[in-house]
Amino acid sequence: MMFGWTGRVLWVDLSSGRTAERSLDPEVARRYIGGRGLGVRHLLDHVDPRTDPLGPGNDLVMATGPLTGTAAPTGARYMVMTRSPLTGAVTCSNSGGQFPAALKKAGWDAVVFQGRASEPVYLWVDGQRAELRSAAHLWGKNVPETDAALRAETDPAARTAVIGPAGEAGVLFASIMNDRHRAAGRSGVGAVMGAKNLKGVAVRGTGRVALADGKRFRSLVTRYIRGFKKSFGDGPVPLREWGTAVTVIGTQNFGVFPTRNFQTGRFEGWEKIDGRMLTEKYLVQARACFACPIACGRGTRVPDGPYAGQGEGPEYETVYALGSDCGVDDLAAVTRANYVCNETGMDTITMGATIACAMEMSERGIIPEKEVGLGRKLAFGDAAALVRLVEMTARQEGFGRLLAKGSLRLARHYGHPEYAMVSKGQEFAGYDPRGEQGMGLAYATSPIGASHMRGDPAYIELLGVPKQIDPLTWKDKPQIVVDWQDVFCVIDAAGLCVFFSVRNYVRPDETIRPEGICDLLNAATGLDYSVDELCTAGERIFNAERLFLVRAGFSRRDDSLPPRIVSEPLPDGPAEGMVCHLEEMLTDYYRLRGWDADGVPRPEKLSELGLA
Amino acid sequence: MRVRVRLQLTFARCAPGGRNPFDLELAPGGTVADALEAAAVPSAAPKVVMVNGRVATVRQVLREGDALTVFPPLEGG
Repeated sequence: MMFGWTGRVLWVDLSSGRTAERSLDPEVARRYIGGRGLGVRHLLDHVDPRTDPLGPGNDLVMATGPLTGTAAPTGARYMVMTRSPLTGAVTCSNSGGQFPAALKKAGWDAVVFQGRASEPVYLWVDGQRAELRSAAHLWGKNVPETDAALRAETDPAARTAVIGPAGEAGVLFASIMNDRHRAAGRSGVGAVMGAKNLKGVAVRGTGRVALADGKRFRSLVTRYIRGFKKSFGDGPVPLREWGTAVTVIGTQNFGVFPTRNFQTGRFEGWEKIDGRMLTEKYLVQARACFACPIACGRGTRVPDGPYAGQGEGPEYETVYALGSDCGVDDLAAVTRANYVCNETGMDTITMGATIACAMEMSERGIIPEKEVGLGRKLAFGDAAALVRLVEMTARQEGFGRLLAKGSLRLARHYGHPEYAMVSKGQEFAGYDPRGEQGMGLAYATSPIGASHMRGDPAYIELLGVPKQIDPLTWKDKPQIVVDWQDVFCVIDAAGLCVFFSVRNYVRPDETIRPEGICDLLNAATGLDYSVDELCTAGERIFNAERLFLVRAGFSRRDDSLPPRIVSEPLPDGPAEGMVCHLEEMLTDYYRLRGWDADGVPRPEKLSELGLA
Repeated sequence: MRVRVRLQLTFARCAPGGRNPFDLELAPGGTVADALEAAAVPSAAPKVVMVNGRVATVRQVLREGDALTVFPPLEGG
């Protein structure tokens, strides 16, 4: 018997309609931990890295970690791994809520989907029983409707992960939405589900995750909860009070709040769309994922006006992408556009960044007014156009068909790829790398393209966690980015949330060694991980993802940033005059990684990590 | 010498009479720590301090007209 892990993986062959249970290899579990690690190990073993992402040869893995579904604070996460239709790289789409814990409590470490169903189906997992059922009657329904229907047909207490119309229609940045409002958002994992004719997964999980040393585990949980509470004294927890959109304060202060498609890093309307304004105007309730003491989720309602509605969000990244990046300071419109993304199942970051790219090309006269079809010229700051274009994208209507392909394909279509703010075809998160050098390196080397969540230097460069360093220096950043990327692999593999982890589970210096995660994993699993072994496991996962990319044809030329970021100085703010010094950082980074000059892991590095 | 101080988020409640940003009078050679003490910002509370848009330590010596911004470490976004 395994502890922490359930030891069981559910394999679903959509082509034949058969499901099967397979054991989790304990040695693989130890070396890859879970979540992101199990996902990439599966892809390396079973998926041709050059396979058509939307073809039946691509597998989709939903993987929890050994701490998912336990009482470990923020043990709520799962990872969706597949080959991305947006980027051609691996995905690491991560989400919390209640669904991942339910999957674990149902007795499964992971679910592997293979092949393609001939008709729409959904998977019903009732504890250890699993069956595919017809979803023909659900095709075309949005996320809340699908969630309601699945629970009505299975069990009212079931938790769901589903796609909306965007995933069905192959929007290249379609998300998988769980518990209605939480998104495995990035890289188009929802389009892969749609291509498989898989509408959703419903899970009823009522068991408990078996722990090797329950007493020790509970005492650790108590310690971390107490430490968390103590760290805020009698003051508020910022993320609970104001949500992640409070981060606007940090990015605006440093002049890296991306504005009008990264033309500047300071947004004049920032105080109209930040977390304090959201709390004041639209917050109904702070909502927490499973086992989370933070509660950064925003249950919100826009009570009246043209954008009235209710749902969850916006998060910081959404406020950037659908707000400042589009020059929109109307929080009701941003919130409404967010609701539409959630209901139809689309990534808010790529959606907003793609509209921002279109706005810039329109203002420069590259996109003719009649092609957009709004009856007026598309321009930054047009809140009504923002909401309309999101709706058109979800329905693949008119100009929305082009937007549904993401910003790089849109910009290429008009012959100007330089206006797509992407790395590896993935749109940037809400941090301008010219004023935050480490983030530039992280964007360029992230296995999924420009993500902030695969080793997020914004914490240490902008937000003062675990300490503050200068965001404008670059010589010191390669080592920090390497260390953070590896530790984030551990966080993602264990099934934890980054938000709690970087403040509470790691050594509070720039190495962020995952000491607390090590203690929790050992109490949960009964193994004897050392912190060094965990860091090596993180490095193994990161290199395994790199190996998948190399085999898919990626190399140094893809570890790139757009010309605007490396050669156009920021025009104003604290980082005025700066460009991102990517090339200088990249050479050092490859050396520290044990990769050759083209970004390929050297044979001795692969041997050292057991990946040869 | 006079410096301008902006206290954000959890520190905003320390702003005198609700004025924020506000000016502080400091002796020549005064440091960030002196300014924070004069503004009654709790010394034990973790904080990020910027002077004229750059990250500063509490030991940094201030000059006439410097702009300080103080906010708590944020968990992320």
